[in-house]
Amino acid sequence: MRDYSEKRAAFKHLIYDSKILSMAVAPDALAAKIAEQTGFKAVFVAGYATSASTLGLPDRGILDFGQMLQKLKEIIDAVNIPVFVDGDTGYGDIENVARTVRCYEAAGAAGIFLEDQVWPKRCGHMAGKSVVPAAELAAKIKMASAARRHDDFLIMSRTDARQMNGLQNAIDRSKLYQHSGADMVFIEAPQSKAELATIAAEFPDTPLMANMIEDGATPMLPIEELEAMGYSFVVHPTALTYANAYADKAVLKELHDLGRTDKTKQHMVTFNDFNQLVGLDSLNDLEKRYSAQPMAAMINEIGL
Amino acid sequence: MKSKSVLAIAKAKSVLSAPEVLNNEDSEAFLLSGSALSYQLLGEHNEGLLSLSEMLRYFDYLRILTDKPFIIDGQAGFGNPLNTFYSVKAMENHGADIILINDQKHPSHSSTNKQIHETLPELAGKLKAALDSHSSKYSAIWLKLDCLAEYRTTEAKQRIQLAQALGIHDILIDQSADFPTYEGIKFHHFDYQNQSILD
Repeated sequence: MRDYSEKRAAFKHLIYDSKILSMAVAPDALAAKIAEQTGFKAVFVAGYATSASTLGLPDRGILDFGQMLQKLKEIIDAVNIPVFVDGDTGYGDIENVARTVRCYEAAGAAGIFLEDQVWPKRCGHMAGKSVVPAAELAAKIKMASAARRHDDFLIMSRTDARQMNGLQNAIDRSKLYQHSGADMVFIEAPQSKAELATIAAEFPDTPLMANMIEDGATPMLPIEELEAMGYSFVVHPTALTYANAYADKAVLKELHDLGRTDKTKQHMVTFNDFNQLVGLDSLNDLEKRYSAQPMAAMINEIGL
Repeated sequence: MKSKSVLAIAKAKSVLSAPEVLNNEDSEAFLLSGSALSYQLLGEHNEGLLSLSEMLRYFDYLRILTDKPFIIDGQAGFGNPLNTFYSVKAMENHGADIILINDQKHPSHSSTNKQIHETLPELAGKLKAALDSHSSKYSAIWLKLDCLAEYRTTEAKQRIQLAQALGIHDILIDQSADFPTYEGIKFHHFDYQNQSILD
């Protein structure tokens, strides 16, 4: 049985490497494939992008475990690089957490993050969030750690406490989560560059994630600056979703209003380029390799 | 990981539910059969009505319950050799230890009177594609000769020799069938009624 040990090992190496890892948040398999071709070393399957691509809905806890698992599998099947996944709140109590971890790990994910929001959750940069008592996520992290079958299936804690309780509470919670078994730490929505630096200083030896959302609560910093602060990896979780929505709107507006795509076509990938992108040539070659003619020759060679 | 036991599997029980997996821990291996699943989900024994993605979604629920070897019915590769290539990769990615590829034309049928055997070059293409697609570190490819009754002796021999030449070591045949020894080939008898591998 395939156990994806090579993907977990590769991901762990990327996380613990001194160079910061920029992970591509892919809303679907096509985006993941393009990310891989562009040179990204790992893909992140996140709730905001998946909620948008799967349901056309905001990240408000409507997307469920089964839908995330399905998207995760589609993306894992499409690429050869490690895939890290958003486990939201674990979708229930600690028993749900155990099942979520087991299923994501079996599906081939390289790691998961779990957060302390009240379900149904909200995107970390939306107003009106609330968090559960810290002990609740600590118990979930402990369960996640016990439920994983491989120690290199990395677990990251996420706290959303900054918005309601302030930075110190978010740091204290994260230390508790780390003590409970989290390998990596993510404090959502710090509100300034100074806060980002404070977080990095509080967790000098722990892999830390920075979340760069266009128009979000955290200032957008260049990757190099985050690396210098001590962050291990960074994501831009809404970039592709916003770009896709922008392109969809522009093309559909022209099509709807004018009945053609002349203006927006200049921004499109061409027919041939797209076919190249999704590997049409290699797929056609593969089909030829196993077609009747070479197979008849092979049969003849075998002497049948 | 492909456990040593995969190489030595003799018997496999057809299962369709979690209790069947959990209450049969003495089973050597488990099998998700297309015929049994199509009856479970669609009310008729007609495996070719099921797509690969439907089978895999169901398989995932069962696969996670056990570390024992799990065999999945890869039917007729769900299309041509190209489809077989991608199907086998997906089945392996979902945790199959052994993938069965039968000798029927796609769509594969459970009723013998509807089964049409694949031409030898097309079967060769599917088997070669399956072998190239999978990793022997994780899974094995077995041939299932559903159309054995249709073949003349030479045709049956050709299919066995083809499998042998390509490096397939295990072939499923009807429980009442018998073959002389072929070097490197193990014939497993299959109970079509219960969709189980007997030996």
